[in-house]
Amino acid sequence: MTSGRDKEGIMVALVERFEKQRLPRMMDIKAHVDQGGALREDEFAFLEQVMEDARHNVHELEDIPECQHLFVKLVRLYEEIVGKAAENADKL
Amino acid sequence: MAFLQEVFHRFRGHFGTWNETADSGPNCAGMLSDAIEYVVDKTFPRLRAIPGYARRLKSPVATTFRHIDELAEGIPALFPCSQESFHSDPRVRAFFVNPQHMREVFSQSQEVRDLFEAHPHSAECCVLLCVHKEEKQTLGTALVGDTLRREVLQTAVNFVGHRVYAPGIDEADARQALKCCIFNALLAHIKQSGNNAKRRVLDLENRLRMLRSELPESRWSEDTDTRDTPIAMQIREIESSLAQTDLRFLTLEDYLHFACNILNNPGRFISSSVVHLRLDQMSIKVDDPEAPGKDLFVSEILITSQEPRIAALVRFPRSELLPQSEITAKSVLFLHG
Repeated sequence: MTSGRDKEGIMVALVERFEKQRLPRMMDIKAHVDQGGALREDEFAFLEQVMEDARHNVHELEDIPECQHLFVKLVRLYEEIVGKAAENADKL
Repeated sequence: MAFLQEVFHRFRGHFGTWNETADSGPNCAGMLSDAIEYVVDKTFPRLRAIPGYARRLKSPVATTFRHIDELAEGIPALFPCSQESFHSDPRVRAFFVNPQHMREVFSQSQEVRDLFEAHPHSAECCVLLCVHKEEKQTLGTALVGDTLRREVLQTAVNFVGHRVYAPGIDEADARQALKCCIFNALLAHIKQSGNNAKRRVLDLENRLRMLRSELPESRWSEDTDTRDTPIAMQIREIESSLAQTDLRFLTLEDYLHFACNILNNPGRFISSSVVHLRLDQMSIKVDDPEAPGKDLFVSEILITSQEPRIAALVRFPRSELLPQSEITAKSVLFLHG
């Protein structure tokens, strides 16, 4: 089992990766679908990878409230993007 | 429904090559695309956000159509449901209490009435009749050898919950209606079980979170005495359930995988078998093949987790349709005593 200090370290690294790499790319994808575009293969693959990692990490770091908070935000953003993308695909 | 009927009508017996572009004309390919959209609409519409979802659903959807087509074509030919056949056909006698009951079942169907109205020259309609088979243990009188015995344990067979589906003017129409019913039931199952599985996982995760909050991590990880406490054991049990659940329903990919898995293996969710029953005049099961009784061979259809249903394709004559006023009067009597 991961110790408290290890968890803290992992958490910091995850937050940093999310804020610097993943969130900006997700926001780019969101802007794309908000303008009426459909998800491209690479965009969809990226979103699935982010969610897959989150699914794994959320169990490891379940007792850290910041992690839960981040996970909820991530799921919301994912839902918004795919919901809008599905709407757009309907119209295309 | 009209679209599904059209698909089953056009490709009847020829679904084998439906998803192979080389063997399909442009119209065929177009219908398969429409069929995929129908499936997405009835299950998880958000699958449309996945690039290439239609390509990935092509083969699974075609597989399901083929399976249902073969299954429904295997249902025995139509038989008449009329006053006359009630006395001559053991199936009709077993399905209904008496000829009046039979007439009421068909006459209560607005679809049957509408069909007769739309086709004033049709002398009969063809319908899909679905019933549930109930078996009850009762004590009755039976002839054992030459002796009449009382209080003999017997199995009474009843057919209840009569439903009349999608009447047509010929057998092909009725068979298509059966295929559509099965197809829609499978799609409803995909949608419902997907949603149920998601709820189940969320419940497990919530319980796990609550249990973990009751057991501080330091104790959980370091104090070996607490590892066998009821809470710790529950945590391990839930963790194990979650680990075994490969369907987490978090992402669209999870939903697509789930739908494809069912559509690729329709035989695991929809099947039919012929049920043989030997019944006496009172609908009591007869085990002795030498004893008086009539043999019944009926088709039982199993759709997903629903109760199995006996399905029969039958013909009902216009001449036996009860007047609307009689049906309305019975409904009023039923509602108001």
